[in-house]
Amino acid sequence: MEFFKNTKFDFIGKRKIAYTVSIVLAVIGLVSIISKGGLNLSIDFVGGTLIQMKFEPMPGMEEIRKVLADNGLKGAQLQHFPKESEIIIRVKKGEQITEEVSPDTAAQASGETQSYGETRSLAAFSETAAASPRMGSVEKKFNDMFSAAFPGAKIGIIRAEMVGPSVGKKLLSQAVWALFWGMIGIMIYVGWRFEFKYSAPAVLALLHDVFIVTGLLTLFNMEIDMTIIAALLTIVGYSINDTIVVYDRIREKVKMYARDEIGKVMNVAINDTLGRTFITGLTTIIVLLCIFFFGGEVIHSFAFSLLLGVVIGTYSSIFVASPLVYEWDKRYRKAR
Amino acid sequence: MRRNQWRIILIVGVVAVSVWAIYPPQEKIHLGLDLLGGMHLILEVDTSKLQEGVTAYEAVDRALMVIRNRIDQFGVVDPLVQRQGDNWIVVQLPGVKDPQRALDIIGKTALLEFKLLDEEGDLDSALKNPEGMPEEDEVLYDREGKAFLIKKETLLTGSALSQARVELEEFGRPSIGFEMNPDGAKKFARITRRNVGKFLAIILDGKIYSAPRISEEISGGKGKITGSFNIETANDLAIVLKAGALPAPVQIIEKRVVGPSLGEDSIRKGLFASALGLLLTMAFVVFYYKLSGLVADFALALNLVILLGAMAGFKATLTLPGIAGMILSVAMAVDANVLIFERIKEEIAAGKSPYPSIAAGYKRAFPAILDSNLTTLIAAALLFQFGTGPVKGFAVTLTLGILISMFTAIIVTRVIFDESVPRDAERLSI
Repeated sequence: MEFFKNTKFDFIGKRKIAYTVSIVLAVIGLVSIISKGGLNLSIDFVGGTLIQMKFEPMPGMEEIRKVLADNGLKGAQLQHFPKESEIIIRVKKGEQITEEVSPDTAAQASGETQSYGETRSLAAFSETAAASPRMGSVEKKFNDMFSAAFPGAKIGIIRAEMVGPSVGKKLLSQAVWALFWGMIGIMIYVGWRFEFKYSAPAVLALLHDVFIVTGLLTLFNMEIDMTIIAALLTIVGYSINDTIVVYDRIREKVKMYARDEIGKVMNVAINDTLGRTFITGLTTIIVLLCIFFFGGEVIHSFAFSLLLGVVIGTYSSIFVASPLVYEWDKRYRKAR
Repeated sequence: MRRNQWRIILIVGVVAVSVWAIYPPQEKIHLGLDLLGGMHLILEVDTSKLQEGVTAYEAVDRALMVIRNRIDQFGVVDPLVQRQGDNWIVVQLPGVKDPQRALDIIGKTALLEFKLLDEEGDLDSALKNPEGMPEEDEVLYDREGKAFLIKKETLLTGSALSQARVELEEFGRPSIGFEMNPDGAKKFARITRRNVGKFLAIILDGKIYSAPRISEEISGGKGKITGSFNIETANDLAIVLKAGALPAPVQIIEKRVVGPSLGEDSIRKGLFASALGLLLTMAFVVFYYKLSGLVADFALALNLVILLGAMAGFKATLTLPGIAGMILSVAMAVDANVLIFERIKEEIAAGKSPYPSIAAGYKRAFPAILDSNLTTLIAAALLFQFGTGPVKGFAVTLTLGILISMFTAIIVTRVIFDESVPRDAERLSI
């Protein structure tokens, strides 16, 4: 059995169709990002609090929303996992929730406020109290809040995350810089091993993949968190790998048929790699589908973004990275 | 056999070392907090509140040491305490049972000060009119919230302490007894001699714990802190006093607590899904490439064993993004064999006999494998250099995975083909 044996698709001739598809996808992504007021960044990057709780028995979501609203957390996002009897509550920075100082200092501070009003010494005192963080816990606050509202229920907190905004900003900028230097490195290597005309298209195709996947994730209302960044990095790795394999075949064929028209030669090369592209893509997708369906909620979004990325990365190697080399070549020849 | 002798020895050796490195897996494979449960913290050292003559760099170094000491005495297996950036400290406590208590121990500044009570001053007027308070005085509170007028001058700090331990008072109430180093004891004796009859306040992190009257000179450098402690809080306080004070207050700017049940759950599901995916991939490869596919599958299995061995050997931590790196490297290992097999098929289709086809297939697939792997390797290396935390974990597994997959997919499979396909073979199961 063999897939895609002796195919003769005219990829280069039909490249305008591929460009249209890419542009449409990119525009869909851009429009969804703009219409939703920017990327849906998670608390990993904007700062905030995440609490994952288990309830037995599970109250209705509306009741939980009401409890949150009553406690001044109207804007909190609520995610429900009925199978596990769990919920995740996300409160982004800006919503009023801060780590409290330990109960005894807190009580003391409020006591002082009643008896003495806002004196200077008190202000100085609360400053030191805040600076030496015997952190009281957000966990406790949530626990108390729900125990009071649902006295009969067993409540457990299984994950609590609290991120200050400065950490998130730094993480995000570091990830973006890592990606930037990664792409520069790829450009230099490809320019050296192949020809310079291959390197810019390779990196453009990578940017294409990252942008479209990010746009589609936004379209599907998915939050961009650290796991998604890891997924985007994985997509870059997969996509460049795929692109280089196609480039390798083009490089080989161009050497063999130096006299033929380059578009024709590229078509032959891309058709030759179709079987391999299909098999590698298929095996990767099999693994990802398993993780998507059976891997549990923690890596669900991760597997989903990778699925998108593998499809788009494979597509871009054939329909974006290679035709762009052709464009580059054509222009370069004309100029001579 | 002769030709491949050294390669076979190398392969067997590498696999043996890997198995040895992994065994027993519960101890050798370090799981990240996202998989194991535990607490992850980023602390910011407030470098605006430094003592004189201490640079920010030194302060963070000192804070690192103090926090490490405290955690060691608290007793956590495999803690991680390291500097990140200019004034951040990352603390990871895998499997910690009582995150809140750990947090209290780590975050406490634990600045112990001895100051005199200002008995002549008028506390009430100082509270009503803070502006009119004498320059050298300040108002501090005790644990019940009662206000005291205290002289600002610090006579002695906790750095004079050499020892702190829990002691039981009458009625079994715990207190913390401390001993001073010789220099501190001398100073303490001088202070008590000069101030007989006055009240000496023992202040911890700006809060008065006790203010006993000095009845006579205390020369031995011993003292105690009393207060409404229970055994646990007294013990924790002794730990932080012994480990020393933080040079500046620290602020918790990131805190992640993952319960062990969530960790267990994600490991179980993640392992099941990965294993299922791997099995299906292997089945597909055999289905498509027949016996040759079996060779590729064997290489893939070795790839995983060696990768885990390398991770155990380098003491790398397996996190969720790390698993992503593994998945990508497995995909690339499969890809390398697919590239080789497709080339072999092409050679056979062009009319060559199997044995030379295999040689040609490996030779012609090699540039594609090398270039695609090296490009990804470059990206991974830069991610490692510039990335942090999770990105770094991803980069490490990916880098190891790529190097190992090149070894198994190219060298291991080649040796098997060489040894099992006769030179005059007419057919190849591929």
